[in-house]
Amino acid sequence: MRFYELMVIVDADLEIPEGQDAPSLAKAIESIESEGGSIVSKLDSSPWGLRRLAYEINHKSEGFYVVLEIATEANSLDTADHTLRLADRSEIIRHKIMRLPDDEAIRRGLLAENASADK
Amino acid sequence: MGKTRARSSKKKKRLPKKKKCFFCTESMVAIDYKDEGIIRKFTTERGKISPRRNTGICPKHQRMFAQAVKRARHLALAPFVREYFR
Repeated sequence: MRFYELMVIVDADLEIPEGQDAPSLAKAIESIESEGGSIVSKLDSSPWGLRRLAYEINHKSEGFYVVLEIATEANSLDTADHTLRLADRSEIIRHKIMRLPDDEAIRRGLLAENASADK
Repeated sequence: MGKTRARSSKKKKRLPKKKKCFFCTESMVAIDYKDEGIIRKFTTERGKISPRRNTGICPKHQRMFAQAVKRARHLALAPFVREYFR
């Protein structure tokens, strides 16, 4: 099991019902879960959620940030990355998937002290 | 003119105090790209990554920090260039 962090900036002008994800983000989460991964945490409230962008992207100065912590097997995030990439420039402004190093995962309490993530 | 020269020759060249790496003293395992305070602290007002000779960060943490800044820039958490407002 490995730990990843996914940050997504969703278009703030999109009309999304309260408490729901953008369709492509929901699809990405679904594909992660269908491949045996799990969403450990999902943050979309302060300091995340609606935020000013540091610079304009596609003439937009605000975006809706969502930060996810994911526990999954190696290389099972490809489909999620693919769906997010297809939605780039329409629903999703930017997205990035990052591997959390083992010691960082331990610090966050995701991984037990003496366990290695690659087992 | 002669006076100043005499004074400067007397003056000892003072070596700057060697700074300790901020991240080493804090014993950080990873540098978080989401931490705006840290990113701001070690970048210039223009948004460039500060050189090690100014900040005293060790090579290992400078590499990690540079990576964090680049991640923050891509996700629009930090600017590529911060413009001055005049």
